[in-house]
Amino acid sequence: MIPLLSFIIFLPLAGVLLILITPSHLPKCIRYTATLVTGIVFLLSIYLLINFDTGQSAMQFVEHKPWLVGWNIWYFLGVDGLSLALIFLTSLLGFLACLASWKIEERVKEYFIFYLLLMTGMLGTFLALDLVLFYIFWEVVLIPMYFLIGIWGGPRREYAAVKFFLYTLAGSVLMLIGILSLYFLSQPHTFNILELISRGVDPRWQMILFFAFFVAFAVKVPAFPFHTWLPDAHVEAPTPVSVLLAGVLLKMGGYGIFRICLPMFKIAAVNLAPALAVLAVVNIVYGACVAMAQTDFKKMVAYSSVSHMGFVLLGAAALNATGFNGAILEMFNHGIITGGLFLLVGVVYDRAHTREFSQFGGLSKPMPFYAFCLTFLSLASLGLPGLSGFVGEFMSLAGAFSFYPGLVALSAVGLIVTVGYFLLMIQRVLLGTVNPNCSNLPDMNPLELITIVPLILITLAAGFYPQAVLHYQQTAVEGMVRLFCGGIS
Amino acid sequence: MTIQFLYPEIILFLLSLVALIAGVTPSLRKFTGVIAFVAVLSALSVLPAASYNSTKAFFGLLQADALSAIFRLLILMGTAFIILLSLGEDKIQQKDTGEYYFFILCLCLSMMLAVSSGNLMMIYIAVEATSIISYILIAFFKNDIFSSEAGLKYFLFGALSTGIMLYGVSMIYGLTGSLNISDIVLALHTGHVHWAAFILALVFILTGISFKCSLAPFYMATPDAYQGAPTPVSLFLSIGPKAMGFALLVRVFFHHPFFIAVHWTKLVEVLAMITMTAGNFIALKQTNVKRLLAYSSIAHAGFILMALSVGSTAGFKAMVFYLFIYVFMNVGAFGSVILCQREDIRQYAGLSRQNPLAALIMAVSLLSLAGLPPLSGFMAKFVVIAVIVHAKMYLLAFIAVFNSVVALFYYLRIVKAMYLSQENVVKPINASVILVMTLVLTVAANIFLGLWPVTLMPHL
Repeated sequence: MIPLLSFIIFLPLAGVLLILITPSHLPKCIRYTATLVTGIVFLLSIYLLINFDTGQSAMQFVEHKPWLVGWNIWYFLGVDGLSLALIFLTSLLGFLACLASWKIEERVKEYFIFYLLLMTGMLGTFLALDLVLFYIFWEVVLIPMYFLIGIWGGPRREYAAVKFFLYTLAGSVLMLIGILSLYFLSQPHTFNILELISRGVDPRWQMILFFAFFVAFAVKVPAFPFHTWLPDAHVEAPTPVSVLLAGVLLKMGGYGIFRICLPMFKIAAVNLAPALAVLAVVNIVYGACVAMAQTDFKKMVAYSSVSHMGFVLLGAAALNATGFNGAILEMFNHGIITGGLFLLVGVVYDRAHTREFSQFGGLSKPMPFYAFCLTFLSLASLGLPGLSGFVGEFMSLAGAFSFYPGLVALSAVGLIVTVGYFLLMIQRVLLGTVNPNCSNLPDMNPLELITIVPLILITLAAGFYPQAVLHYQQTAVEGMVRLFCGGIS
Repeated sequence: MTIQFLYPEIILFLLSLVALIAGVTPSLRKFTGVIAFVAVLSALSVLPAASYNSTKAFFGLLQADALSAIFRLLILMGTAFIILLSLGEDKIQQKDTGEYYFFILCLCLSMMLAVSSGNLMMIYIAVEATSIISYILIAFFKNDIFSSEAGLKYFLFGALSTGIMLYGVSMIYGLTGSLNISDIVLALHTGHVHWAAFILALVFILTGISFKCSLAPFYMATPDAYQGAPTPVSLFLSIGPKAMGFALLVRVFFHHPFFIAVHWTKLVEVLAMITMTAGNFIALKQTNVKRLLAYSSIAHAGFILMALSVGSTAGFKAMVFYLFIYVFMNVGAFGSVILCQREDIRQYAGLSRQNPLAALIMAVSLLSLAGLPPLSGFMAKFVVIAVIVHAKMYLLAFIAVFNSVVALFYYLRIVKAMYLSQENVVKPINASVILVMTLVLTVAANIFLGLWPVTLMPHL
């Protein structure tokens, strides 16, 4: 059998080697290589999607080979309903953001080397089923991200890059101790995630281990109060990197919670669910309110991410099928929508070289296509029924409602504010009198349209027929809920 | 049988004499480095394999066991790297310095004797020989004021600490009537030894060894010495005497079950915490790369010591594993300093554009030192922390991982200058082929050992 998952993970790495031997004065050649590689990865993920058996709850396309035998560390990959959507999301955004990266003119060779390394790290994180392997991929993401923000970012890039690096590393080192404690607690010692879940963890240790892992994931999500790295990183990062940051990196945190925190530490999860729900609502409301106050386009979208990721946490805190389904769907949808929004911010920034709302106005006149795309994705992001954003948020809220009606009501406030700042943004950027600065901005070019249109189509399709996405994850969610039914009753 | 054990040392000694003669003969001077390298290689080739049953030789003065075999290999390997890097260091090549490689070989020889001895007097003599040669090598650039100052400082601290160590050794002789470690243990089991005095004597010996490993609070001379010394010598100090010190720690304090019982582990645990925290936090403010790497090596010493504080075989294995990987990481980092010929962090600005290869070597070595996967430094840290977590020393594990975040910050300062900074410092890079090849090799080792650490330790 072909090791499909290994191909998906390591093709970008092969691309790195190819680019390394390409002379740096051939930027076109480098761009095409990178695009080709990410394109193949995307096609492979579609192949994965087609061949995935939705009726089966076990891991599929499993690769299980010994790596460090003495420590019982395995090269263990597999995909299930939880990771499938995220793999698709990563490879899609990886491909589209690669197209958007063609605009990078400076140090092209290094840029694509780091970009492809980042791809390997992200894909590996979602596919690894051995804790050590998972940790290694998790950390591998940091290095290329640091360089991508730090070299090709905005004016305060160095600060933002270091802050990003230190925050996420500080979060994840605790996870390392957690991983090792889990290993030594299990008899016989193992790093195998599935085995650890099925064996269950000593109840006395669950609480503290939950924290050790949760801090790492919360920094990535980012959950309040660990979110402060996000606006800095987003504002300074170049457009394609912002897309991956919002679209994929934040999902790593959510994925970790669903893959490790909840199923492995069931008792702790049940006890801490109310706290998690409170945290989620703080994220939703606080993120929305701060987004409302922004005058920088990109910063506003960044804070809207904080708000939206709150729904993921809320769905997780619900501990039932509806909530889980909603949270996982919300991760996918948020990746698509916010990825698109960051692309659009990039489009207008490339033309006007500013992101201040006061410098825009009446853009719908010179840029009608742009106005359509921005309006469409904003409406999707604020949760308009019929577009994909609505479904995930609604299911998260519905799942949580039976346990925390008060908190759900409170998060409705966040929803209203969300509608407010998106409409305000549309008004300030697209409507009104045409700002003389932007009266002759050219509309989106074909390359930009190619990167946006697939996202718009997916948003529309997933909004009208969410079952298309949901039926991939349903079996995995059912399996997880079954864990909790056994645990609670 | 017993003489076989000494073959590597004998070869080193004879060839070091050849190197010395070649060094004072003008027409042969340029070959001294090559002779030294050949000496180390041939010593490596006759090095007996590690065996777990210990044999005594020369009335117990020398001891052939796993500890000595592993550390002799480690020291020889380190020496080989130092010689290769020295061949690429212009200042050493240009000077009329025929005796340089002779000293390097002697240093290697004395350290090898120290790690394979089971007799306190023999250990003391070997340590003292190591110290004296270190003083000479640090102050090797006689006309360089910093080099001389560093040598003097290192001498003052070193003389004091080895003096204290000798005092401890003599006390132990007075208390137990023997200098052979196995006899001492026997005496402790049977005789009436004054406990307080014995513990005091052990603390004195620990002082001497701590100076060699640059453990808190005896690391004061280390930064000055590393900064002032010729860079290959700084590197040697960060590898050789450190490895020797840790071997002696194991030999004197942990090799016999008895010593473990005296609760050394608690003391060692605290020492490890203080050492790595101090090293990392002081490193944050450094602007001189060599000085920064000196503090980083202090922090790493704390990390290595941490593995010992468990007091088990697993801890010993983790320590050895860490030391081997530490050699590759440090050779890469110091080697890049030699390659780039610059010491101030600001001078590294824009290096990635000027010389991508040099910047890459430096970056990989530093990120490996910081312990980021998939580089070998991560595996080293992983194994050590695993041993600690296994021993349920969670506070120590927490401090260790917290330290590795702090450490990342100052390693990133150099990486930031090389890759992120917009400035360009134009300074030609002297790229000798040997130097570049050696560094590329260490980088490859850093990546390979991170992915496949089993190569190094079959029982991992």
